[in-house]
Amino acid sequence: MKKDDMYIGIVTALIGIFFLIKSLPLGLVEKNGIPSAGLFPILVSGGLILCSLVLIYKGFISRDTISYWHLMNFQKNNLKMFWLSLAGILVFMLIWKYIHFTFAIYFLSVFLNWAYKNSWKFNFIFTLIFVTIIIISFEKIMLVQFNV
Amino acid sequence: MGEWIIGLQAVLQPNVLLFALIGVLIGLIIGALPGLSGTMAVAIFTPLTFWFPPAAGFAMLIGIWNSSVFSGGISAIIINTPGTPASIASTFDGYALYKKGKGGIALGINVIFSVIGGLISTVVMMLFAFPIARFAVKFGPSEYFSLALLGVSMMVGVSNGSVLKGLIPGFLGLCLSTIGMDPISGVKRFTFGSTNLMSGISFIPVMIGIFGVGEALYQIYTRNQKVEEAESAERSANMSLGKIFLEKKEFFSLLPLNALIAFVATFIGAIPAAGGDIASIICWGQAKRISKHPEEYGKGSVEGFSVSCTANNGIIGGALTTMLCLGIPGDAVSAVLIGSLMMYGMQPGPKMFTENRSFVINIMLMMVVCNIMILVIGLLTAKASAKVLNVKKELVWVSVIILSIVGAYALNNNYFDVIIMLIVGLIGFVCKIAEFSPGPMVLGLLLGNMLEANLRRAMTLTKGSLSFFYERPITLCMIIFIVLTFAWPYITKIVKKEKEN
Repeated sequence: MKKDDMYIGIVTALIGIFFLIKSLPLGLVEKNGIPSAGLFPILVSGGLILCSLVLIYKGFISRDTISYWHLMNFQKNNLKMFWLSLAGILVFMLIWKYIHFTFAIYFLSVFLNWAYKNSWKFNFIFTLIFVTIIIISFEKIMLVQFNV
Repeated sequence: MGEWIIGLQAVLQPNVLLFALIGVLIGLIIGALPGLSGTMAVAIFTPLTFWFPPAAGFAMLIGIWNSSVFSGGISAIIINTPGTPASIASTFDGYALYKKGKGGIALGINVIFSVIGGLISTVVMMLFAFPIARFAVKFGPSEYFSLALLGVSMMVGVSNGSVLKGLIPGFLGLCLSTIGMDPISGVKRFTFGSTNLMSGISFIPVMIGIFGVGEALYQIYTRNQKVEEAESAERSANMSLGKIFLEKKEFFSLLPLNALIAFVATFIGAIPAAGGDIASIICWGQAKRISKHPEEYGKGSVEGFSVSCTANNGIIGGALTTMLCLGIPGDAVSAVLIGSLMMYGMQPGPKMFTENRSFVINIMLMMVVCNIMILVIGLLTAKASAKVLNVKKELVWVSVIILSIVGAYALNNNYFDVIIMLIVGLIGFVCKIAEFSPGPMVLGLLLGNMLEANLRRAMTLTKGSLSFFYERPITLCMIIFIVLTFAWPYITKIVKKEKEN
């Protein structure tokens, strides 16, 4: 266990509390003893809160202060690639929603290949072949409609 | 007998064979690449198979599963890194064999004994699945509830590291399973007026998120180029592989022990959520105990390596038996396959043996066909397969991210599913970084409905009483087993302390 577990425990406890509060109005058991729609969510959210509290306690008393997110010096570039991946996916989702899927998917492939430092030549050849195969197989053969 | 012949005819259809072959080839490549598991491959390719006839689609998934487990041994031999968790025991002797200049033999053993393990476990499944399903037909709501609880708790019990870090994702998955209409009275829960949430959170996008995007992001974040360079140098050393076949006498001398190990692996595979890594380590350890040359194990023992390969694929038959007969997953891949079968309109469990009996037979025969394909392709490409390790990780990441997005959307033509997949992918990434097991979350989501529906049915039958826990013998046995699973580590700790004192 690390100190970080305390913060993770707080987040999961909050999720549990949210589910618990929303389940309470659904009720636990009806008058004739038949269980209500709230029984199961109350049980599992209660379990989540209980476990989270134990995790918070274990994280609190832990002396291991090294973060889970800690990277070695030679891994610093990973962080840039990670954020670029997330940014690329986010922009892709927006282009897909507001412009067009075909444009978005070509953009994503070129962007990710660039973010992962693949050569431009490889980038364009890969994108052209891989994405075109995906579009043909999903849109033309399986008739998936990518318009949203 | 007649239905088996009809099943064989169905499985030998050209389209089924073609998709099984494609699956075997995909599995061979993905399984050999360290970090890419069969679970990821099956999760990503599952949406694609919905466009095929069920037999062809499922043949592809079975091909990917069997082949990825076997090919996980390739990287274990060449770079001492298991390609899939199930091939962890293959590193004990496989790499040492390679170092001795017997890499070819090791690659050959990997193919042949993985297939032997797969075939024996399939035969065991064929023999035992039908009686188990007949027995399970008698199960009522309380038995199903305890069975689902057993599935979730086993996954938590065997999750690496702390039990707490298995329990939290498990509960989180169970909470997610409550989103949508409740399974008994149809009351809307946690939908916030969204029509997308009315039918709950789809299982397949969650699987793709955790095992596809989540895994790719984790690999990007934790990439260690120094290790990659060392692995690359290892490969470029170009050590001679030599011949791939064992001497006839040596091969036959290995058969009895491997047959026994295949049975043991099938049994371990049948334990809900036991997983291939645990099974192969247990089998390797047991084989060492009964071996005439235990001192050679871990130092390049041909016998030791063959049993780890047999155990790899031996668990598949067991995991499939649990999945088909009881409707609970034997491991992570079978959890995805349960989702696939549900999408095909089939509900794994004892009823499947009556309602979709012919498809159950097809699955069993597909296992045989896929193993034969692996034998042929594996031997033909034994030496060349080592080249798969040269595939660039960056290429894999781009492919996985794009296929995950397209696959999650194609399932229901729903943009919302892609959003769910990406959110869950991030949760999966955080889980892996913070050393939580994402497996219990998947299982919680998959078995949540089964747990809730059967708990409420059982309580309704007893008018709110929990007496079914101790009045029904099977339920009681399973509850005791669940309690023991959690208590066992603490019991052994206390016993150890007592002994030391």
